[in-house]
Amino acid sequence: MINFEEELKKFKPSLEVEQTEEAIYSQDLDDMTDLMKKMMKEAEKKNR
Amino acid sequence: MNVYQTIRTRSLLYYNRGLECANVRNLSRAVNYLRMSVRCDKTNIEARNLLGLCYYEMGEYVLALREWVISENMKTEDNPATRYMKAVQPDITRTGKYSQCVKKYNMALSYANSGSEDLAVIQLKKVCSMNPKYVKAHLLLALLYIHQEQYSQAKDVLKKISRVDANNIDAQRYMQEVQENINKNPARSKKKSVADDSVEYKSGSETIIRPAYFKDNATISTIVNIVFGIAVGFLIAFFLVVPGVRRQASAESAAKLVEANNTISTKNVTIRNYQDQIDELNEKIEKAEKNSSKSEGNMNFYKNLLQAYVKYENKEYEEAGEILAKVDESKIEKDFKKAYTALKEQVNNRYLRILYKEAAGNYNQGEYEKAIKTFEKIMDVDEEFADGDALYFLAQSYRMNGDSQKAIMMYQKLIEQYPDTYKARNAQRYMDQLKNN
Repeated sequence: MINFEEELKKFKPSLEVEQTEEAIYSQDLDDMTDLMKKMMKEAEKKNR
Repeated sequence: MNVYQTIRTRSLLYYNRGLECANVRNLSRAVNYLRMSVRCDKTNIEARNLLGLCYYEMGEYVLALREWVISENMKTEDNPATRYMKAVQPDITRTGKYSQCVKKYNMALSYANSGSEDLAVIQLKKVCSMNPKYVKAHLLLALLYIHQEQYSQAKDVLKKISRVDANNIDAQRYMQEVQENINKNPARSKKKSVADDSVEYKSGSETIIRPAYFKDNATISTIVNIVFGIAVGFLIAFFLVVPGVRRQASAESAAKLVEANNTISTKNVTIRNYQDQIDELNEKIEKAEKNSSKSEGNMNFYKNLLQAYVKYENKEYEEAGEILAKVDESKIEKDFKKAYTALKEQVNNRYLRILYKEAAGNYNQGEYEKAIKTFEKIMDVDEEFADGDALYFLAQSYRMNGDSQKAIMMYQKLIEQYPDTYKARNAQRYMDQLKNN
């Protein structure tokens, strides 16, 4: 049985054209390699 | 194989799965794989471009643009993302198709959240007709239909979603819900049969309901329409045209009346002028007639006077006297008064003597009527002629002729004018006799 209110909460407003630039700049572009680099840096800091 | 290569291999693996899903239009799942792919390796341009294409196919143009922009930023040359962006650019302007769709969708979502589901459905119908691949809008519309227990409509919408995104999880859940409800209550979703009064069918995303039967009343309806048209035309003519015509006619008649009044007043003035001229001319004529009659009277007077003089010169004294007796002394002008008086005295002396002689002869012969006429002529000219003898014998003639009243009047006059005379005493005696008789 679907809960209408709960389902309705899942729907979010679509991004409008004016929000395109914001959507691009706010995008998190870090990938697994970046995460690994961060992890390695943190490990190096700990070893020091 | 080091870690980096492992990560890149993982990224490619996700990309391949995403590509497989995209090939069978399992877009939502493809999106998930592709997002994981670019999470593993952000430089996986193919995965990012395909992610953008999946977003675009699901109607999420801004998200697609985002991925393509990032992709182009990472690889500026020979990147299909550039071509994709050029292709969708017209739709992503502020007034473009996508902008309208998104605005309406957001508005519909706002309506739905505020409880105005009918308005939300109307907006979403428009959005779905504008962009049939807008998965999110279709999902929301399906959800609203389900909430309104319009399961057949919801089912139709969900089928459309499946044509765009074959295995959309939300769509599948909704479809399951719809199927369950349809199975529970088949009558609710059952389309009305031909035996019912109306028939319901689909035209695109619209549900059209029309009467089951059409009666062919074309002839009757044509006649009714003609009669109705005639009636309406008559009413229009009666209420719109006729008053206008009447107003125009009354205005024209009023104008003509004013013109006629002006003409009449002008004519009246002319007539009045003519009347004044006539009156003036009449006065002139009257004056002229008066002058003419006066002149004629004067002419007659002078003519009589001349005749009398001629008669007098011819010693016809009687005729001369008669003519002078007819003359109106009032018309005599002062200059001729003396001449007239002199002539009259001379004529009358002779004339009255002749008359007196004639009257006395008549009286003596007993011809009293003739005597009376002659004495009256004398009295007309001179009442005191022969010291009242003419008056005395006139009275005697009346008495002898049997006219007692006139005789008494004459006697009375004589007594008054010649008292204490022989004639007065005789007159008194005769008068007494007549009164006693």
